[in-house]
Amino acid sequence: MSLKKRESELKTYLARMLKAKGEVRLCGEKRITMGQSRAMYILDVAYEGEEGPVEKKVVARIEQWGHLGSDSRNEVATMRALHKADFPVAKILSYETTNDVLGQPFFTMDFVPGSSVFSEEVVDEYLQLLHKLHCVDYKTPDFEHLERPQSLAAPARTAVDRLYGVYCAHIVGEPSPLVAECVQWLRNNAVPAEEITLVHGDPGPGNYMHHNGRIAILNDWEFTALGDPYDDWAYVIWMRGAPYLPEEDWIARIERTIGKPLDRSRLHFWKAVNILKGVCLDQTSHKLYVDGVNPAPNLLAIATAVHLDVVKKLCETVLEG
Amino acid sequence: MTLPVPPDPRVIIQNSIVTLREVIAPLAEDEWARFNASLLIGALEYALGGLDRDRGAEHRSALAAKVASLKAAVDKSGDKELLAAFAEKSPFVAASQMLVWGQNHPGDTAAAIQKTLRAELYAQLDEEIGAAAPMMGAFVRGMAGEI
Repeated sequence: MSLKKRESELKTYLARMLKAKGEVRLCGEKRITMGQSRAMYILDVAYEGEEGPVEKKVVARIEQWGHLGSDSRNEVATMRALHKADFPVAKILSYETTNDVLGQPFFTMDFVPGSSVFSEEVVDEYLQLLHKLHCVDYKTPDFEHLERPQSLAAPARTAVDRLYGVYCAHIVGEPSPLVAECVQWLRNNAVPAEEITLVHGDPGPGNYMHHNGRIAILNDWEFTALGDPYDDWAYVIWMRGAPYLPEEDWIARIERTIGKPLDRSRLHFWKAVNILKGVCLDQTSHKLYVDGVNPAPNLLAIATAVHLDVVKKLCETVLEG
Repeated sequence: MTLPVPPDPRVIIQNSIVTLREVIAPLAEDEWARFNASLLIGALEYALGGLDRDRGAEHRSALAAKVASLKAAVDKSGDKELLAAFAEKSPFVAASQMLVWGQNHPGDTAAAIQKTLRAELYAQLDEEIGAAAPMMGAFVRGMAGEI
């Protein structure tokens, strides 16, 4: 999808959202390759503002027909709540819940300069921020949009059932018997949480920006929920962080950050759940691609090569581990 | 070959790959366009690999044979829930039910089911991973900004 086809509607929308006097000029549009659940564009806009001419960058984050099984509602509400709590997230500028402007719901946010390329220099600061997120008081009205687990046993079981539900709703042709078996193993071996916290859901390298040796913002809040913080730690170690540091290095850094040893069996369980997350959410690509909802070839890649690769990892972790 | 005998689809796809790689992709300056060009090359190579055989049908019949081979062991167990799996038309659904049952009923029957079905399903998985290798290569290269 290119924004060119919707440029007129977008400019009208931006003029209203930015409180421009007159027209907003769209001087540049760049789609970012990273991030598959949303189409992300950096927009260079110029307009006459209340205090004179303005030139700025704005980020538009556009839903992709439920790709990877999430919508923007929780994401926007969580980012607003965290921004209010002085947590480093981009400021939401607007949220369009209809398909009228761009054909899909989307939101706009401040552009924050920085790099998402891995740098060991900021790893410990990032882990401290993730731990800080786990310590945020979620029992305030600002986080009422997140479903509250009813017990310490709930996050593990709920996560598995929710993910498998997404998978089943997007099966194309036949189910995978191996996935079904792994899900049953996870249900039978679900580990209760020690505590319930905010959980980012997709943390680690690539999902934060750093600038001048400091973390600027944490990104990608579409999977945020209330759950077991081990969900996040396992994701950092084995999913996003795996290409950059050895497992034991990550574990040592996390243990230093939280000030206590990690429970390895709980960590292993959440490692498996996070691989299941990849398996199930990738399945949405298959259905959207085959149904012609989104013909983009990145969906085919996720539906086939990426999906099969994580199914194999799931089997190795759950059935052969 | 003279029309109206149509060109072989394999040739059309192969030549499209060459054109994409040598003509279109080098002209794609935009990061997103380059990413898509890389993925399209991978997608066409992946499609090319599927022209000769119906791997889906082969997997189905091979799995159906493995499910059928477990009938005697399941009969011996006498478990009604497990026996019901044989009424399923799809061997994938039947195998799913049997493996889930195995997780809930550890023992000799479960072990026999797991040994037989997992071996077949792992082989199918490995074959499909191999077939999708061009797609994976294109995705990884595309994410790195390469073609």
